[in-house]
Amino acid sequence: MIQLQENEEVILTVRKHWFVFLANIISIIFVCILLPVVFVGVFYALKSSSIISGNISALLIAIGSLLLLLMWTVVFVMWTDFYLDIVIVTDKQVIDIEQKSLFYREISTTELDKIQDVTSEVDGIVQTTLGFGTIHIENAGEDEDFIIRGVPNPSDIRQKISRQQSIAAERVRTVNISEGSLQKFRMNDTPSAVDNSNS
Amino acid sequence: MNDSPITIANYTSTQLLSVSPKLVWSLFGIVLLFFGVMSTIIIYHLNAYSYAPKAATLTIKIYAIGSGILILSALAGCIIYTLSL
Repeated sequence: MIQLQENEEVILTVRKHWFVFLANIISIIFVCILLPVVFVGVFYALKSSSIISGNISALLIAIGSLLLLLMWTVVFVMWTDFYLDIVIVTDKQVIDIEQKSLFYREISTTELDKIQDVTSEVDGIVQTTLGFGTIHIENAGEDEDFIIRGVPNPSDIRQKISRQQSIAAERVRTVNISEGSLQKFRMNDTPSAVDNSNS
Repeated sequence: MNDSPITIANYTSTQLLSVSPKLVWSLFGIVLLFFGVMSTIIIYHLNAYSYAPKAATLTIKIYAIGSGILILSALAGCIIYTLSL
């Protein structure tokens, strides 16, 4: 579980688009559809040739169930990988958690006031039709840029991040002004206080 | 022609081909071992890293129900096949 700072508010949590998961498991779905057809074919072939002793259908059910169990497990490994990939936008930072494999987890964060530019990209007929794409967050300085692929409604997310970024920038400006005012106030009214603060 | 029955694996001219129950049960054991290890890893990850614990619990329940059905089905198949020999 990710630990947020005190008083940090979660604005948005984004998971990857369902199509990303579907694209990963499409081959397994294909095998699962094909498997019963192959098994029925094998069953009738063995039954007609009657070269196998014992209950053939029970044998095929056992082997078929074990194969399906393997595929079911693999699908859930992929689901876990998909499900644990998440982007969290708070009022202070953007956190990108990427579960690259079961034993490889990467967490990147960038503070909102360090973001220079946010762009969204929808590329191709599938992404346009299903409404998902890529978000590119450009950071100031030497921090690595964020590239979040396969997110639904990238344009909306970009707008929300930009809005939060503006609010964060405004908050920083407000703090600077109030500190400046305080300094002026101290210089004008209490010179000893300024001396103390400088020392 | 040789009168002795020609044997290819368990197949003879007089016998039917039979898949050894030992082989079937070994396959069952190996798959169950793989399933056990992978399930432990999946459940650990979902419990430890999930951002929404309720959804993770639902995922684990669906996984357990599906797996249970498939394991019972495989077990029934193995038992029936072994008894039929």
